[in-house]
Amino acid sequence: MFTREIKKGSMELLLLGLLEQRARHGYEIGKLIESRSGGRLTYSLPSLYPALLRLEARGLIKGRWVEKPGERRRCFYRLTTEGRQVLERQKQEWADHVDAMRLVLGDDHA
Amino acid sequence: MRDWQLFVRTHLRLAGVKPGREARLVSEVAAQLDDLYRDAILRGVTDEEADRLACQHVADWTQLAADLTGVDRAARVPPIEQRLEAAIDRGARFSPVWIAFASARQDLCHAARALSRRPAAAAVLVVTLALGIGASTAIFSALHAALFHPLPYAEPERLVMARATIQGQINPWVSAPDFFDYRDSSSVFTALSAYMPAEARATVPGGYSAQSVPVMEVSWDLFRTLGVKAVRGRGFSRAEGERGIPDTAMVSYGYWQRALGGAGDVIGRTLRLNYGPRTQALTIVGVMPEGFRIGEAADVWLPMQTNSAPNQVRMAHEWLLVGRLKPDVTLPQAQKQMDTIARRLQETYPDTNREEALLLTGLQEALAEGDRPSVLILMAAVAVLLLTACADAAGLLLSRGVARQTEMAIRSALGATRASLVRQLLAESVLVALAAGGLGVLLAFWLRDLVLRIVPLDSLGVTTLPLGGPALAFAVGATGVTSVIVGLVPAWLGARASLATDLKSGTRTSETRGHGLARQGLVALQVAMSVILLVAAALLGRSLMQLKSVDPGFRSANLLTARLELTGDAYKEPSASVRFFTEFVGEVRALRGVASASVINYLPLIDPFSNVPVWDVEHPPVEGRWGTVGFRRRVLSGYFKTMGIPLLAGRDLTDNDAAADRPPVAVVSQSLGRQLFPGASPVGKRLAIATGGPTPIVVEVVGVVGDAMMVSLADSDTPALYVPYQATSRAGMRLVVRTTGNPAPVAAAIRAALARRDRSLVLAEIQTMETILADSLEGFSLRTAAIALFGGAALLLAMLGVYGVLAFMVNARRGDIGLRMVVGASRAQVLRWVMARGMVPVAVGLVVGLAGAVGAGRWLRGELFNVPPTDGVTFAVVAVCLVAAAVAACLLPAWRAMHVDPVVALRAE
Repeated sequence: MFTREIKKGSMELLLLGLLEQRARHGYEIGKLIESRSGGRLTYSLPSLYPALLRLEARGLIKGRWVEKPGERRRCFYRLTTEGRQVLERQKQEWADHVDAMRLVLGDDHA
Repeated sequence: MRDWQLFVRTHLRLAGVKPGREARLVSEVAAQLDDLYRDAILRGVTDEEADRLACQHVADWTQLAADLTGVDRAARVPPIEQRLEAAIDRGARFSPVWIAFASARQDLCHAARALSRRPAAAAVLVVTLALGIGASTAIFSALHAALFHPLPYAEPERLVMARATIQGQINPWVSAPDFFDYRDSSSVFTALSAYMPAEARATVPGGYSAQSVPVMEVSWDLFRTLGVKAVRGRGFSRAEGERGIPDTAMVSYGYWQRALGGAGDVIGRTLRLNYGPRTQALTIVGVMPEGFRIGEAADVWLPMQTNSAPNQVRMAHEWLLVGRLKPDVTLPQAQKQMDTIARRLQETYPDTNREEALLLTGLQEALAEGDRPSVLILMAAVAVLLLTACADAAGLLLSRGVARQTEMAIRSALGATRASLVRQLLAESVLVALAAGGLGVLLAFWLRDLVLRIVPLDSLGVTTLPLGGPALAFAVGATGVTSVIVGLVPAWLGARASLATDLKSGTRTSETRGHGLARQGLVALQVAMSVILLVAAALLGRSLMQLKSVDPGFRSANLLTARLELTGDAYKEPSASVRFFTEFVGEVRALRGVASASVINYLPLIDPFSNVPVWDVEHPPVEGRWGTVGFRRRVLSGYFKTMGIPLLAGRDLTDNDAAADRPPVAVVSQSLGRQLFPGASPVGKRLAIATGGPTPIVVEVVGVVGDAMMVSLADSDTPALYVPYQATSRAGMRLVVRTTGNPAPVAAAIRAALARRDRSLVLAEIQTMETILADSLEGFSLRTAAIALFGGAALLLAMLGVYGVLAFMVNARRGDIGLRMVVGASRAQVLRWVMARGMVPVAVGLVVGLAGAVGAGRWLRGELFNVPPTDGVTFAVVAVCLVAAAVAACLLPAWRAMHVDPVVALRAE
């Protein structure tokens, strides 16, 4: 599908974007990426989970253990204020980047 | 279904991650695998297939573990660069100051996290150092108060104390006529004043019980000389000191509040006092400020009467002098003038002033003289203890530094400079020291009362130690020095971790040569410091034991003493007080529980007064010299029997000896007899007592008694002569009563007997002789106990250090030990090898410490009693104890080394 580099470069934005609306747990995030991309983008646990931890370490997201009735204990991640700012910036950058590429390569290629 | 937690735990090897963190990572991975499995089941996959899918989801567990621990390590220490990056992402701009501040903050945060990971070790560090800093701060505040705290008088640096010397020895009291001569012939003082240091008491008559108040006589201008004004009313006038009998008084603030109800109209009120052999009506002219004192605390001050009869006697040394130097006069200049005046007085009054001079000392120095050595000793001891604690803390940090070599190596591989690593490690010691400093100041608040009990500074007017600017500055300084001492060596060595060796060494933590030497050096330092403290404590302890075993010359058990002052008009005639004491002692002897009773004017160990020149009538002293000086004591018959002072020759004094038609007699102590009549029995000999006049009193020696300590238990020489009380009456005496049993009920009976005779009299200072003995050693005991405590603490720290170094070495060298055992080393050989390694720093420290202790002992010489400063036994005992403790500290690690399983140890390599 996509090369490793493209996947890796876009993962941070994807993770932050998926947490914009509400807090989610790791497995849910992986499933969402897969379903929303129509199965074209898949991240396995070994790449997804360290990425989440890295974002948490940088203070962009925050994980919290939640126990819901009838469900197992899971760690839900939510966006921090800092994460929200970074997300806005990265979205803008990404859009600019895509625009710039489209301009360079022409509509038929983009 | 599979237990995914167990599955993940067996596959995911997370090295160097805190247990709590590890649990979280494992749970989360397990939760995701569980989700995968359940999803697969929901899609209709078979159980086995779903299980296989989930199990194979993570292809490379090692990689995952590395990724997770990598993130985790970064998470533990978010480098400032990452935070900066995040902030730059947000488009923030930074000033260099912000970056410096932020990195300092980060270093401290990181240090706090690093410490909180081992809270027990951190707590030990903090508490150890806090005790050191707290104790030294409290003692420093005492030192500061004793040496630098300005006396509560105006321009105290110009105040001097003038004390008499006889034969070059300080014998501080000056006679009133000498005082007048020095005052009138000198030109170096703006004023020279006097006060009577002996604690006199008056009774306030009235009601059913008389009250006793401490009274002090002062020259009329003393308060003016000190520069202290009355808060109410005025000071004395010159005329009030020339009336022959005082008719005015000043009272202390406390007495005004307590006894006079703080009345607004206190000035002009009449105070009726029984003082001396008369009742006096005194007009209160002034109230002194709160807390004011000079010498002993007093409630009532009376003006010294320059023309009263006792103040014309040049032999009566009763006054202490305080002078204020003129602004342009130095102490040596003033001293020179005193020497000139003293020589002139010696020539003019050869009968009284032979070998006498006046010594000037700064008032502060003179008042602090007694306390300074003890405060200095305590300060030195606590400084040594603080150093030991620092070495201990440094050792602990150093061992952690070794354990973190790999971390340091990774950091430096990631681009951290050595300076930043040093900074980071130093931050830990700074944090520890800061916490210890804060806790130390709190401790000092609590310890300062204890310090004042060990070194009471009453004479300096210090009743509570202020933890003000200087003490806090000291605490801050001590904290700073501590953090540098504790942190620098570990930080420097820790940051030197070389990438190649440390990454190569893998997970095994190894000690570099520098580390090993530094730790052993620190242990040697601790051992040396504790040896010094222990030797000092042992020398003082032996001195204390020697002092306690000193025979005071009397039997202190079941001996009750009290002070009884006959005050009021009823005792105006000398014969009245003689009659009173004779009859009252007779009454006391008849009380139940009393074996015998008597009175003496000055009690041993409490009243070191009244030493007079005496000589053999056949061998008068040469011109200008005195020869022997002895303590003159006035007693009633039965004194020696009551005190248990043995009669060695001749007879005791009897009530008849004082009869007018009998020749005057005296009993001498053994040492006085030996000095005056060497080689002969003093009984029947005649001796002369200087009186200040051209003709001395000549008395016949009728008996010789054993020596009794007069000034302190450390007295080397106690020449004394006892004359009958009746010969010259005195209104104030000490009652001594030997009881057959418990003295307490007897005291009550004596008090009741006194009340029956005269309700206006007060029986004061009732105490047993054993209490007096114990009190005389209290300061010394407390000081010794404090230093022993410091020594014990230092020993404990040193032994923890020995244990720590050895335990660490055994752990780090398991492979070596295992190898040795494989190639045939026996357990005994391993034990020897480990013990030798542990004992090397101990031996070095012991040698250095013993050498230091020789110096410390010399410095303590003045405090020691009957113990040489380089007492071989003391040194040997300390050395043996220390080696024994060190062997004990080595045993556990050695035992562990002996039981290393070679196979396990080598496999770990």
